[in-house]
Amino acid sequence: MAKIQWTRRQFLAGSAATGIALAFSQLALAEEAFDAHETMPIAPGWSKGIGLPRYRVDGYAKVTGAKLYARDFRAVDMPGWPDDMSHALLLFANDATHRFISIDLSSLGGDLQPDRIVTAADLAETGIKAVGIFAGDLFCPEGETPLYLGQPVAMLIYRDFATFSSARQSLRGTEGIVTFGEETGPIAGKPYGANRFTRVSGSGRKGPDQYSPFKDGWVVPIRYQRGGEPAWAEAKPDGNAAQEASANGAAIRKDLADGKAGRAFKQSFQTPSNDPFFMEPESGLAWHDKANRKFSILVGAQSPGETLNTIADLFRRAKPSVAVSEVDGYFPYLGGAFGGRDRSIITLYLAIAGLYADGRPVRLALDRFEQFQLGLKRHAVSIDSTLGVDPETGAFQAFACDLTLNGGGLANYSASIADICAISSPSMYYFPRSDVTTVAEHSRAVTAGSMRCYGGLQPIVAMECLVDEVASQLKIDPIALRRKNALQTGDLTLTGIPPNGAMRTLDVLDAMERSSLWAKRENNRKAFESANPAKAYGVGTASAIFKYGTGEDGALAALWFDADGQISVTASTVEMGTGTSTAVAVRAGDHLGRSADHVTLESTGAIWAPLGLVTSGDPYTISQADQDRAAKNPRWVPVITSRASASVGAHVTTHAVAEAGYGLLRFGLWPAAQAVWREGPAGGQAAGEDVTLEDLRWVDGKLTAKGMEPLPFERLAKKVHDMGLVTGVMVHAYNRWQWAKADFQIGSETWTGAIDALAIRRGDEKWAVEDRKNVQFPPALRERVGASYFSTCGAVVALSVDRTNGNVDVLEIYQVLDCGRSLVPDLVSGMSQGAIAMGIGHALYEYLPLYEDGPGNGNWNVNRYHVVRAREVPLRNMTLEYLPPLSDNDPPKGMAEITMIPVVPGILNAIHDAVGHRFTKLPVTAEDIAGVL
Amino acid sequence: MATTKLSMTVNGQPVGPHEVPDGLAMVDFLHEYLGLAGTKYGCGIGVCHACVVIVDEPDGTSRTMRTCINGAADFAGKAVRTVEGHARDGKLSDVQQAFVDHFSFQCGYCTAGFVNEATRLVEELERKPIAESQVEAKLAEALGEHICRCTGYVRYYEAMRDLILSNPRLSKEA
Repeated sequence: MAKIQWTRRQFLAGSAATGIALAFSQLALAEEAFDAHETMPIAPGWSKGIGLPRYRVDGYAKVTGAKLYARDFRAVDMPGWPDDMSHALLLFANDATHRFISIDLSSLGGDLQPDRIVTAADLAETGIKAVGIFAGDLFCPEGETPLYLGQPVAMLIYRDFATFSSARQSLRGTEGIVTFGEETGPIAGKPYGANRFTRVSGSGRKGPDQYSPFKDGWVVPIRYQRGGEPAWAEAKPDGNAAQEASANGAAIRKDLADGKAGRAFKQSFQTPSNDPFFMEPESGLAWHDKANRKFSILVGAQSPGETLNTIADLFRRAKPSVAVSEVDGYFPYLGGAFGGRDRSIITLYLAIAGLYADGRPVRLALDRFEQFQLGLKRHAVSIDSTLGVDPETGAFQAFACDLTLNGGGLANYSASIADICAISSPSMYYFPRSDVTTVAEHSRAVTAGSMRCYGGLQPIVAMECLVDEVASQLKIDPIALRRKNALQTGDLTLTGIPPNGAMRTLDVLDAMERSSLWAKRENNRKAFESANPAKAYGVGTASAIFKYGTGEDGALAALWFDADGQISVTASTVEMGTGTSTAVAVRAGDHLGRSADHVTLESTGAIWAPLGLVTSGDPYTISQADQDRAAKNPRWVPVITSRASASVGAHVTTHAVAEAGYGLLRFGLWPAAQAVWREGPAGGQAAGEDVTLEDLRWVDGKLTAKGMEPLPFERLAKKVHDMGLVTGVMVHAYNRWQWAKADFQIGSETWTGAIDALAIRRGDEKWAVEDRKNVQFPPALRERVGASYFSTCGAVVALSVDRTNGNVDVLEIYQVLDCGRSLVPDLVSGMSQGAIAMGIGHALYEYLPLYEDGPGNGNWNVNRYHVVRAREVPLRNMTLEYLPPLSDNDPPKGMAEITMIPVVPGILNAIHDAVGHRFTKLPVTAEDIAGVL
Repeated sequence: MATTKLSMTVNGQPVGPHEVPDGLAMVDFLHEYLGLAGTKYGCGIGVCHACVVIVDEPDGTSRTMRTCINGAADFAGKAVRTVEGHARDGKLSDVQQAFVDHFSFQCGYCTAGFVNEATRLVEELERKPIAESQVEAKLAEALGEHICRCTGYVRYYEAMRDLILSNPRLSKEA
C-alpha cells in the first residue's frame, strides 16, 4: 500500500524533562520549564510561500488518518517505552447522596477480574492527593458520600487487552457494581469564588470614574452565608473600598427600584449545563520507569505546561515510595477541545494509572458515557438583572445583575469563570452605573470548567434578550437601541478601563442594519408566510463584545532560516483544530515576506532551553514588590506559556512569532540587503538614496526599498549566512492586558521589543541568550483590568416556527465580525461556521440535567444530548462578513469564541418576533414553543 | 473468555487469522490488532458515524458500516477499506483532496468517517450519475447523520458539492 511521504516524522516524540523542584514555594525558588514537544506532519505544497496558504499545514495528515490524537497511540508507538501495555478503566459513583460502600466485581466471574484495583486506600498509603483546583478525593473513600455525581471510586487495571475488553463490555451492561448505603444528602461545599463589580462613572463615559474595580480594587465577600450566598461589606460611602462598593451598589439598586434610573426592566434568565462534546473522548498513556525514576505521560491537553506541573506536584507531595524525579510529557493533536481539555482531571487519573501499573505502560481511555460522566461541563448560570432605561431616549441609565454559577463538584476554573461572567454581563453596552455580583457555587453536579466563551456566553445571551425586550416595549428599533447605548472607543467598561484599540461596535451595528436579511425582513416574512401558512417567520438580532486573552498569557516563538532560504518556525501552543499551526506559519511572513516553510508546535521543550526561563509566583496575585524583585533575574518571566485556547492563538501566540520575525529582519536581512545594495564602487546602487529600515518593503517575496533592486529571500538568506549575521531569533512574550517590553543590545543597536526574553543565532552557530535590560512588565495592578482586548460581533437570524408543533427551522444567518487582521481567512470563516452551529445547538437543543438525571449517572451519550446535524444548519444561507482591518498592521484578534455568542440570543429574539413569546432560558425547545402557541 | 478467529481483507491486504474476544468492536480490532488508528471512536453507540468504514460487496457495490457497534466478527471474510487506504502513490483521492482544498475540517477527528462515506457516495454516483438538482438531497442522505462539532458542516458539503457538480461522470444537468 503506497503511503504519503512526510517531510517530518509522522508520530509524536518528547524529550526528557528537567528535574522536579522538590522544594518549590511561591517565590523562594523558581521553577524551570519542563521539556516536551510535539511534531507536525506537514502537507506537501500547503504553502504558496507568498500570500495565503493553499490549505492547512496539517491537512494531509488529518485526511489520511495519520496517528495524531492521544487516542491513536499505544505503547509500541512511543520511543523507548516497553511494547507491552496494560489497560485501565475507572468505576464511577452514580450517586452523591448516599454513602459509598464498596465495589462488587463478582459479575465479572473468575476470568475477567482485574490484575490490580486501585482505591482511595491505596492513594492514602502513597500520599497521592489532589490539591488546588482539583482538591477533593480522587477516589471516594469507602464509607463516605461522593463529593459529586460521577466521582471515581476505583480504577481497574488489566495486563491483557482481550480480558480488559471483555470485562469492560460486561461492566457496561451490569447494575450494582458500585454499591451505596445510608442516605446522607449531598456534601455541602464552600463556594469557589465570588466578586462584586461596582462602577459609578464620573463626569463622562471616558472617565475618570468616581468608583470602579480598576480604580478602587476588586471586592470579595466578607464571608459566605450558610447556603453559600456571599455576604458583602456593610454599605458605607466613606468606608473602605468594599464598603464603598456596597454603598454604591445599594444606591444603584435603590434607584432602579424607585424608578430614579429610568424605567426598570427586570429579567430572570437560566442557562443549562452543556457538554463540549469534542469528538475525541479523553484518553492517554502513562509509564513509570521506576529504575530511572522517570514518569512519562501522553495526553491531549490545552495546557501542556500546567499538565506537567500538576503531575510533578502530585508526585512531589507524595511519599518517597513514589519514586519520580523526572516527568516527561507528550502532547498530541486534540480531537476538539472547546475548553474541555483545559486542566482536565483525566491527567491525574493517568498519573495514578501509571503509578499502579507495575512498571508497565498503561492506557486509560474514556468511552463516551464516561466522557459525559467525568468531562468538564459549561456552567449552568442563573442571571437576575435589572436594566434602567430612559423611556424617552432609550439611553441606559443603570444596570444591576446577580449571577450564580453552578460549578459542580470540583473548583477547576469556576472562580475565574465567574469573574468573566460578570465582566461580560453588559454585553456591548455602556452603563453610567452598574453593580454586578457573581458567585460560583459547589454542587454535586459534574464539574464545570472552561468551555468556549469562558462564562461570557450566558450573561451576554441574557442581556441581548433583555435589550430586545426593552426595544419591543419602548417601541424602538432594536438596532437603533443598541447603537444608542453601544460601548464606543475610549468608553470605560464595567471594570473601569477603556478597551484596547478602536471599538467598532457602531460599524458592526451598521453592517447588521444594512444586511439584506434585516432590511428585507418584512417582505421576506410576507413571502414566507404566504408560501407556508402553517409557519411563522421571525427575524432576530443580537450583538456582543467578548474578551480574548486571559491576562496571564505567555508565548514562545523561534524563527530561523537556513542558507537555502527555508524558513522554520516553532511556537508554543497545541493544535486543537483552530489552525493555529497554519496561522503561526503565515504570521512569520509579517516581516519575512512569506510564510514559514516548516512549522513545529512545542509547548514546553528542549528547544526553548537557550532562553533559560524560570518562573515563580501566581501572575494573577503577585504583588508589585515581588514582581519587581523577581524581574531582576533576567531569566524570570511571570508565565512561561499559556494554555492553548481559541482566544489566545492568533493574538498571543502569533505576536511572539511576529516579534521574532522583526528581529530577523532588522538584524539579519536588513544588514545583508544593505551590503548587497552597497556593493560596488562609490556606495553602489544605494549611494543615491537614504534607505532606512522603515523603508523596506516586501513585494512578491522580494525585499526592496526606495527603488533598490528587489532581492529574493533565498539570495538574502545566503548572504546573511555568509556574513554571519543573525539567522535565528527566539523570543518570549508576556501579556497582562498589555505586553511586557525590554531592551536588548544586538551589536551596536538597542532593540526595544514587546518581548521579555531573547536568544539569537548567527549563521549556523548555537543559540545564545541575550540579557534584557530595562524590562517593563505590566504592573501587577493591571490584573484589575479584568479584560481589555475585545472582539465585536453581531448576528441577524431568520427562522420559522411550525405553529402545529413548535419546531424551529433556522433559515438564514448573517453574521458580522471584527477580527482585526485575519491571518488565514478560510480558517476564520470555518471557525465562524462551526461556532454558529454550536450556537444553534445551545439555543434550541443542548441540555443536560444537573443532578441525578444528568450525565453524572453514567447514562448519557449523544443519542440523548442533541448535537446539531447538518440539516439543522442553514448550510447555504450563512453570510459571514468581516470588518476590514483599519490598517495593514492591525493585530489579529482572538475571535473563535465570540462568533458563537450572538447567534444564540438572535434565535431567541427571532422566536419572539415569530410567535410573540419571550423565552428567558436555554434551550428553547419545540415543546416549549408549542406550549405557548 | 470466548474468542473467535477471524480473517478479512483490509485496504486490499489480507489480515489474519487473529484470535479476538467475542464481541470485540471492529474499531478496537483495527486499532489494537492491525495498528490502524485512522478509524475513530466517537460515541460507541453508532450515532456520530465517525467510525464508519467501507465494505466492498462481491457485486461491485459498497456500503459503509459503523465499527463501534458492529463487532469485528461482523466483518469476517469481508473486504474493508479504511481512511488509510484511499491515497495512492503520494496522491490523495479526489474526496480527500476536495476536503483539504476546501478547509473542510478543523480538529479532523470526524474526517475519516466523512471521507469514507463521501468516497462510497462518489463511487455510487460513478456507477449511476444523478441530476444536478438531486445533488443536495443526495448529500444530505449520505452525510446527514455524521456529526462534526468543529465546522458546522458548511465546508464538508461545499467540497462534495463542488466535486460532484464539476464531474460530468457524477452528475448531469438534467
